[in-house]
Amino acid sequence: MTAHVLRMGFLGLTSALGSAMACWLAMSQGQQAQDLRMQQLSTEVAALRRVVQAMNHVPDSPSGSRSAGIPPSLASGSARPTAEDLDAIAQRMATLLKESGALAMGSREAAPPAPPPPLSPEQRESVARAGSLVERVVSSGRMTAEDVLEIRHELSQLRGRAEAEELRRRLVVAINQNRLIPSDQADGLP
Amino acid sequence: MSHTSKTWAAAVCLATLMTTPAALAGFQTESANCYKNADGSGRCYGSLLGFRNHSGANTQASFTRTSTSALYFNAALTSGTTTEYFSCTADAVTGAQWSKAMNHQGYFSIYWNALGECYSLFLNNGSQYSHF
Repeated sequence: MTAHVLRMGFLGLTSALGSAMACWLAMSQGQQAQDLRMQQLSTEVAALRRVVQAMNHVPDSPSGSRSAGIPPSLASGSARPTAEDLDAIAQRMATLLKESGALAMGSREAAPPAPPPPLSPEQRESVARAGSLVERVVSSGRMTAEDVLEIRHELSQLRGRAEAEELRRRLVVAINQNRLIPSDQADGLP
Repeated sequence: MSHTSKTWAAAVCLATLMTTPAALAGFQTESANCYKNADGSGRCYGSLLGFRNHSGANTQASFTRTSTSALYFNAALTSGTTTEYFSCTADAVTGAQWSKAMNHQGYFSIYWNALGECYSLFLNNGSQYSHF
């Protein structure tokens, strides 16, 4: 019995030690991988910075600042921007925007929407016919399924036109003011 | 009560319990309401299922889009022997939701002004409104 207990205790101790060792190895390997990745990233960033500087390189101005308005100390990342630096950058940006015409474009007001094209003779006839039908229907106080189809046919010539909307609205207002009863058989409005 | 009677009563109770369908769980509601003011403006609200199952014989509601892209709402509400009719055409804002309204199975609330323009459309879906 004692031997069995001792053996079980030994096995448990061995397992715990093995687990601890495995954890330590995994953590140390993860740390190494992270350090390596950081080194790679630093190298890549430095290379990218060199490429960007080479692309944007222009001769220094007499005052010692670059044309983008960024002082060399800031461009190299060795100094924090002062209020004067930020002011210079802002002024340089404003100058560039004015020169490019972007500010003038932004201040332009949106052009009013173009008026719809005039109705064609056929459309004018449809408006007249549909108007007569709507008047007749509202006067009678009842709208049959045939009325709906007839008015709809005329309005189909006026797709998206305000004139068609106005005629439909006249029917709707008459319905809501209890002056017009739509047919139960009619499939909706014209 | 004799032993035989008790046995039969238990058997009948058990059989009744086994044949009774399971009770439907969860809250359900449906409604159909419309009103309009003196100037013709008004509102309809409820669910399409509520209008369908309304006690009025002519009660109905629909969101429609025609082949010429005209968008409008129609409803009729029968109370007793009286049927009232309601209608509006979508404005730009409510028109943007029209395709959703046409497929909606939940609660809706639509308002229109005296000119017959639907100016507000509220859609809300919930487990209590539809038969899924």
